[in-house]
Amino acid sequence: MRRRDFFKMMSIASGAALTACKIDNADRRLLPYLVPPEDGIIPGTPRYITGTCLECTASCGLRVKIRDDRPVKLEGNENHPINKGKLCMRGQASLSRLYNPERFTAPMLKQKDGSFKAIGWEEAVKVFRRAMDDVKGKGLRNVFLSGLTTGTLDGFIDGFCGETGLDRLKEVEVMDYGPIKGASRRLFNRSLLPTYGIDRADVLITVGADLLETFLSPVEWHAQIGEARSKNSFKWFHIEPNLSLTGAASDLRIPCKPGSEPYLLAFLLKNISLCSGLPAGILQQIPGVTKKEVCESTGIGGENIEKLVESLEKSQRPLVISGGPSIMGRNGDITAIYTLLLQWSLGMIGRTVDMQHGFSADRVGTMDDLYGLKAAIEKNTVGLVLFSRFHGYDTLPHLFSFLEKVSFKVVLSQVPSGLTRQCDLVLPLAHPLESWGDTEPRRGLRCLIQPAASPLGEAKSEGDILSALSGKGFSVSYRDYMIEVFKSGGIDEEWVSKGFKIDDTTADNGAAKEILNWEKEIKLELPGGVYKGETLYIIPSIRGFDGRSMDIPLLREIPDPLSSISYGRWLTISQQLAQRLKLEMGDIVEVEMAVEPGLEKALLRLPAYINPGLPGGVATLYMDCLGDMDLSVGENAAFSMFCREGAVLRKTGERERLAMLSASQITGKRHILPDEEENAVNRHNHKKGHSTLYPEHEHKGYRWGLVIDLDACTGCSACAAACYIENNVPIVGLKEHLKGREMSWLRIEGYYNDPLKPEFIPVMCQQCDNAPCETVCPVFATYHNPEGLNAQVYNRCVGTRYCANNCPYKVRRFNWFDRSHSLPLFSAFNPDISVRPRGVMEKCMFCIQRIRAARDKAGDENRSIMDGEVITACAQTCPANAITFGNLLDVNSRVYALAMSKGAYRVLELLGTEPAVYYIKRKKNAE
Amino acid sequence: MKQFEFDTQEEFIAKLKEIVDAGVKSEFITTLTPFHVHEVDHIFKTRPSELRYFTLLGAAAGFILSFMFMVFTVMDWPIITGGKPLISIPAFIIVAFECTILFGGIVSLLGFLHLNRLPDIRRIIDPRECGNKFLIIHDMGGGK
Amino acid sequence: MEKRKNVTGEEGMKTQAFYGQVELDVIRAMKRPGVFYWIALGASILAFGGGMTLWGYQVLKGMGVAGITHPVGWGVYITNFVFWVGIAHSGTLISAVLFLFRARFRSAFNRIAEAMTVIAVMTAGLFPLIHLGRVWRFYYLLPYPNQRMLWVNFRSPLIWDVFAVSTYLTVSVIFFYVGMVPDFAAARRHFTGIRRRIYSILSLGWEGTTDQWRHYSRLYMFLAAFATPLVVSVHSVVSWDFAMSIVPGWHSTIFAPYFVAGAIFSGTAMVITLTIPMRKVLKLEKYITVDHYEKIAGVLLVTALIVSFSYIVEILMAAYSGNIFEKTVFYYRMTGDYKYFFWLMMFCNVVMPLTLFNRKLRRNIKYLFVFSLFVNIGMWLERFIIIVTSLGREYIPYSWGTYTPSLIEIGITVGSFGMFFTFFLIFSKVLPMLSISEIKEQGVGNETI
Repeated sequence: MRRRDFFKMMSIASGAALTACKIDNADRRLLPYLVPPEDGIIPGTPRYITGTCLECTASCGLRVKIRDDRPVKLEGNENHPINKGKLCMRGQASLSRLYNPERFTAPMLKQKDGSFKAIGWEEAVKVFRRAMDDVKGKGLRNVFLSGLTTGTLDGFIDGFCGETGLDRLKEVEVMDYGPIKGASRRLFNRSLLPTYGIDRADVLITVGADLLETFLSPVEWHAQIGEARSKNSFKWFHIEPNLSLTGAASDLRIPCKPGSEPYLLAFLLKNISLCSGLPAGILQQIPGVTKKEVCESTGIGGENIEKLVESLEKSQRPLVISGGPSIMGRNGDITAIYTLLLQWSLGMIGRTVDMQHGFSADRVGTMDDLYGLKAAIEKNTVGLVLFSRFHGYDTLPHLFSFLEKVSFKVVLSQVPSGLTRQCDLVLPLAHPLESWGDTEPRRGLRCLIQPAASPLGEAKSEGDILSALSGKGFSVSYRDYMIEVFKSGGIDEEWVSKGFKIDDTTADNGAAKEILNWEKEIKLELPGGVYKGETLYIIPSIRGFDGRSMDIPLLREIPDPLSSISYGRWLTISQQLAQRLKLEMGDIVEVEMAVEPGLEKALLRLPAYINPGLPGGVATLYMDCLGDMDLSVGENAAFSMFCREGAVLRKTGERERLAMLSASQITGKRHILPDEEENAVNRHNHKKGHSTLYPEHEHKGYRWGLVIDLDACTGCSACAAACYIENNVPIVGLKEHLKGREMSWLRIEGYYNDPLKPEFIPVMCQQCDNAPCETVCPVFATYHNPEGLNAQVYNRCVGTRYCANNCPYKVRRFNWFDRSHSLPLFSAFNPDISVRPRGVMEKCMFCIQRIRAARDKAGDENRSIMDGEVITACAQTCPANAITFGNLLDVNSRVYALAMSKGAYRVLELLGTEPAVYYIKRKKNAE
Repeated sequence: MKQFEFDTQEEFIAKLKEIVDAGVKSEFITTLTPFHVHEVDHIFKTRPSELRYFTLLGAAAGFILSFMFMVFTVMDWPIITGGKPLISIPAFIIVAFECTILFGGIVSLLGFLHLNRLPDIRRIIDPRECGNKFLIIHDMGGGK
Repeated sequence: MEKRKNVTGEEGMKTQAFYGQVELDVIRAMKRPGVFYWIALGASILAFGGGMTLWGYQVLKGMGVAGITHPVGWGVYITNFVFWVGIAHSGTLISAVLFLFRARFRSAFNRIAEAMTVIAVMTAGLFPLIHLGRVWRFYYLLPYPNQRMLWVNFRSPLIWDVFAVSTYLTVSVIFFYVGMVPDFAAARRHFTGIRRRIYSILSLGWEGTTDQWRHYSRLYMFLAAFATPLVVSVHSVVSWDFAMSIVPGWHSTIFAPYFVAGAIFSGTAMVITLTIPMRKVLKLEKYITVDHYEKIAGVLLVTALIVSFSYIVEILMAAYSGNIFEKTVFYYRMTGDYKYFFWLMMFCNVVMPLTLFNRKLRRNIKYLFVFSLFVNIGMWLERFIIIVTSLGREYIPYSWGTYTPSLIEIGITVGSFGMFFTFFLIFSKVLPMLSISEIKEQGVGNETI
């Protein structure tokens, strides 16, 4: 496409989007176009463009579905090397940021009384420049502080800072992966965060690294693990001090005592034959621990240690990754170093560990850089701070409290937050779906950020804002700058349509050389002892990442898969601790954490969630449950902020109701998850059907079915998020959750039948052939359609709720109230499916709107729907590829093959409901 | 027209027997009693009330019509619910049973009103007040 | 015939004085009401009005104002529905079934019982509407020819409910009215003015001729014969709302007889609760005697034993079957969140009725009154426990839940009692409370049968 046509398309899209955004409440008629705006754009049919998700630092590729100039759904970009067409729950939910009613639509200036007043851009720029000049006049510094910045914006900001005389500080992220970078800096002189090729490995050992939740690029690891598993000889061991989704998904989860990881790694280094290739000097510095000592200090059984040693010995392409809680504490650095030594000696580097195309997150600064800024501010040498994409403040407000002393603070932000309330000037930032830009999540890969709608109100993209602040006004846009930068290559059609570009020029080729000549004479510390007492880990969560995603209501509405708690804050404790302190679910616990001498002891007060699988001696707290609790340890402390040894937990005697959506996390022998006995009985002979009084079901042409591979499902809940957005499912809030009235059509049930390893099962309407719900509806509001779907007819339902009572799977959700949606929230609705009023029952219908669309298309082309043509929202986004959808009558379809495979069963088969959803579970838990 | 009033049931029955034995036909005798006196029916040797035909008709009509209606509705627009057969006999029998009783009751009431020629407007406006007495009225001169 | 003293103190039954006295006694109850009546009526109307207002609020805001939730989709409203239908049934039992059995003691109660039936069915019939999510579309439940010719699902137990309860209401009203026609004729003698006019019209010009009585008694018998299977079938149909589902604890073949017995049990208790104060206030002790109460208490005892047996059967089947879903529900009932209600229910329905084996207690009016209150509470709790505990512990442990009635639901429940008592109090002043013609016929009063 030529540049001109491209711009034409963009401007028309923006113009139409502007009109769409400016909604006049009085005018609610739908007026169709007499002349369509542009060729190829047909109102009512979706348009797709590529983009990049910026909800976390992974930068997955997006395919944005646009209906009537509004993005209504985000999917993964199929060809993207990071996420391969899948999107995690945060990515799916990030769409709602675009429609947040609290978004800033104009620059806001803080008034004398503390309130904010909207002003125009010209005035805002004037205010900024005046403040800057003031500060310079006083001889103070102006600084620029942001989160991780990659791509062309990085260079642009450098230019901006140079022009305006701002000091650009090292980027700040709560998750800085310091120990991993530190290890490679000490050994290889380069601060690197390598990428991993799990799909190339045959043995994977993860030490603490929460691959599937937040570690660097979770969707990518999901896909890679899936690929590795499909090769059948893949073995994955996960060693961790806490309980994570990653541990639950691994082949063997090995709990270890907090802080004991270095001893295990030391044992491996000393006992695996290949590791003898390490330089003698290094080997000497590694403590020689006997197996018995390792068993004692780590708490790992001798058998499991044998298994680890054996698999590493036999492996052709091993991979060891450490991260997460294991690198957070006092022993985090040494764990990372031992891991790197293991990686080097077993030849992983260059094969399964890629140092050349490392993650760009390695440029992020550490706590020391932050403390430097703190010292400068306290010495009053800083006059103005310009914040951009600085999420740390809202997660750890106490840590950054020194920023309050700065006299003039400017922030670029989309929505009000703790940080914006601190600032004097707030500049409205456009959402990535409204901006141009690019990112480079790892060296050699560039991802394009494309607008799908024009910015709301006066919001502008970061580049445009900085450009204006430097005095250039809005004449030259960031888009033009980007075109300039890529002059030679151009923002060409290929990049725009693919959404990404492989550009090896930025790969760190020097890293390879360094690694060859690495520093072999370094001095290593001995690992400090195992952590004593209770250890509290403060970890990022799959829902909120480092806390930044928790202002998206959908991510609170969908419960945390491990605990099934949705709203509120909680502390996860072990059953051992609960028994000792006589605690029950919801009892408020006070946690006293050690800090540097002289500082006030840090105290947390939170209701407790008792996790059946968490080992004794460990408690975990998610970063998004911090609120404004003070985690400060003191600058000179030997303690780590996020891993607090020797925490003292006390019962307070008070209680708070936890919004725990699951009433029981044990199934018992209820034919929900198969156990050994049921392997014979439960895997019903569904291929032949069973004797029944009723006539045989006939399906015309299609019988839609779903197969969910429970061995692949990790419980990440991306499917739940996609379902909410695709089907306009209402978000109901804490009060209703406490009553059990969540509206999720698809939910992840986590069961701790084996406390060592929870299992997750996604449950949605099973579209039963002999549905108990259909018989009892008095008005035919639910019936069995000829294609095997249990159809819910919203406009016929009178709301007797007998169908919900009769559903054994309890997947039917009743609309207890009307939900009001203030603008612009109802622009986010999927126009293909209705919004249900109060008094009406709703449930999953296998995305019948997508089936209908495909059927229309196939009908136009006079053919039947092909396998893979229709895909439900949940199946489309599942990062583990666990869900397959298709026509069960088509014997050549993938879904048929999976449904008839060994290990396929149906939930509650004994009731004779004949569901159309099959689950596959082949593996036992402890193998 | 001869009219006899009595205070007690025994006297009333005795006199009635007298009259009937004297040959007056039952069609020409009207009795008015404050409650149902079964002996009167014995004396008059009446046939069982014709109401039973109404009841039978109503009940049968209820059963058949309701069954026909239900079968018509499911055949007109066949909707599968829960895999059950379209013509679900056990379910239909329940509704048919209720309709039997419903129609039976209503038709019986209508039959009753018809047989008794009620409501009797004349008697509503101007009732024949006789208190709690037992009356015999016959308008044939026969006998005494 | 025996020479006994009747209510007027005269020898011999069935004299004119007796007939006159019966009429006077019954009609007197229909004349000027006292202070207590007005207070009771006022309170009932207040409760009724309050309940209706709360219902209006619920319709405006949505079902969410009630405490029902996922998974317990039915709560207090359906409990009330079954409760009121149960009460209605015993009324029919007394008036129709006992008629067929020629149990003469029924004539003391039967008019009150019929009135109770009609009012209770009306009250019960409101609850399926109250619990509808979209009550303004309630007519979808009726088989009417609509634009798309979409009828109703006759396989659904709720539609059976529609037919059963409407049939029951219709037949009960007919039965009630037919029984009162001769009494209207008697009543019109004692009033003047507009009331006389109304009673005249309602009496349809009844005179009491041979033929009229002949057809009348046939009709009465046929209606009683219809009402008898109706009692059994309607409450069976209501019980099948539960038994035809797959919910553990509901899906049980014992439900039909269990519920019918329970209905008779709770309804008879309600008859006792209503008539004991009423006979005192309206001075009808001569007509409703201790002997009658002893017989009614016998009915209570028999039905209590049946209900107790049903409990034992259910619990034994759950334990013996080994079916984990069934066992979970019953274990939850006995030891879970609602255990206090369960054990209170057991006490009221199983333990307390055993005291009725003692004849002295059966004849003790005060004891029977207190006892009937306990039974009402116990039977209400029984329906509540059946509904809530079974729904709260179904198949998938993730989805288990509890239910707490909200103030709206409690208010509407109180409102339903208000409605019942409002209509009942009005009935007691407007319609003849005892079956005058039957009492005259049988000479009831002072007679031990």
